[in-house]
Amino acid sequence: MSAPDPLAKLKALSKSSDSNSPFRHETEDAILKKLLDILMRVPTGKELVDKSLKNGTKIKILKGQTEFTFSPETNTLFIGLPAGQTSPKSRMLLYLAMGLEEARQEYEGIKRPNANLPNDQFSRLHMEKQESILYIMCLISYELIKSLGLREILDELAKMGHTKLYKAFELDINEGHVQVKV
Amino acid sequence: MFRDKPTVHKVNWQRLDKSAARHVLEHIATEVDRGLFPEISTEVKCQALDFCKNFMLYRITNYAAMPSFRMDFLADGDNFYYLSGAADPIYNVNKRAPIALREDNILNYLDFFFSNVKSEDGDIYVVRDPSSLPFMSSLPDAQRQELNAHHLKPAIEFDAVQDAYIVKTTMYYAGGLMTAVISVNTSGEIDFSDLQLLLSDMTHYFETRTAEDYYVSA
Repeated sequence: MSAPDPLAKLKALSKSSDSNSPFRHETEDAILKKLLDILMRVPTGKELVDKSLKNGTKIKILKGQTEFTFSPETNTLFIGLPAGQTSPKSRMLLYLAMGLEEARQEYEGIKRPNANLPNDQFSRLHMEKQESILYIMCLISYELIKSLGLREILDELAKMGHTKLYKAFELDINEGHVQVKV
Repeated sequence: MFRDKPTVHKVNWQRLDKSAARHVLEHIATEVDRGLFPEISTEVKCQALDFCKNFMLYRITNYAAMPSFRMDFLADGDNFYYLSGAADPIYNVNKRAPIALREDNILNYLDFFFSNVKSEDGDIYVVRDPSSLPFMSSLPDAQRQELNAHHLKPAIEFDAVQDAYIVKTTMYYAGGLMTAVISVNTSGEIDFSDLQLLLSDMTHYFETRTAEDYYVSA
């Protein structure tokens, strides 16, 4: 694959993003298709997507620099990509899985804690939810790497600051503490 | 992350009171999912920009989401332009505000622009001082000295013919260091020329794979 001219890519920053909506990403459908096609090729990804379809979770690609967020009120997962960009980042596969895990928590009754709760209860509920989301992140990473050879996921985990966590997860698998399907 | 810290986002945030925050949330609720910003867990704050008289930077953050979820807008209180990652919202505000660029705020404008307009190749920023770059300490002495010798401290001049500020500088782009000439016209539109690798043997700092490559291998 030939490398694009860096100057041309910089000049493209000044171009219009060609979209009517200020929020919905202009290539939402194509990006979602790519992400779902890949995620469904690994067991945990397929399971998460199947559950989300069954429970009516909507997935939208939002313009901007956000990572991902789930709206319990509308059962919608939002994943961000800056306007004008057409190539989904591999990190978005992790965000998709993590967001779908939060959706699963919601419809299985593990609700986002109310901001009015005392601080200790609020933090504890947050941490419990986050623990399972990070577990899914590690599991999906492992499956993407082992099944599809997507080793660039390791770069993404490093950029997200989760290298140590992932190494510990891999160690648990190697020592038989965690069972995976790949 | 290799970065010189831009100053533009770091100071002078003003948190809006409940009534003013509700006014902002009502303005943006028509198109964005209302559930993204429950009033009880959402903070709205704003910051003046020294290159923009009538518009401010608004940051809306839902702290109940994990990770916390935020959206940034340029707004005059009634008109909100979502910072989408493309240049359009900034350029549209520049026409409307209008933008007021000067020699002493042009670098702030570039910091703001590159913080909010994103390339496929990741972060871009103007490097004011190479000694602040984290990887400097890991470079061999000879290479560090060469980098310091070739570093182009941001130099700004106004070109009356082009009606634009011309900034010659070292910049971080695509995971490496380059020198470039950045032209910023009086409407705030940005163009680049004369892009050169700062050191020819620093290519290992560059991201050579594109996002598409990732998917080809999948």
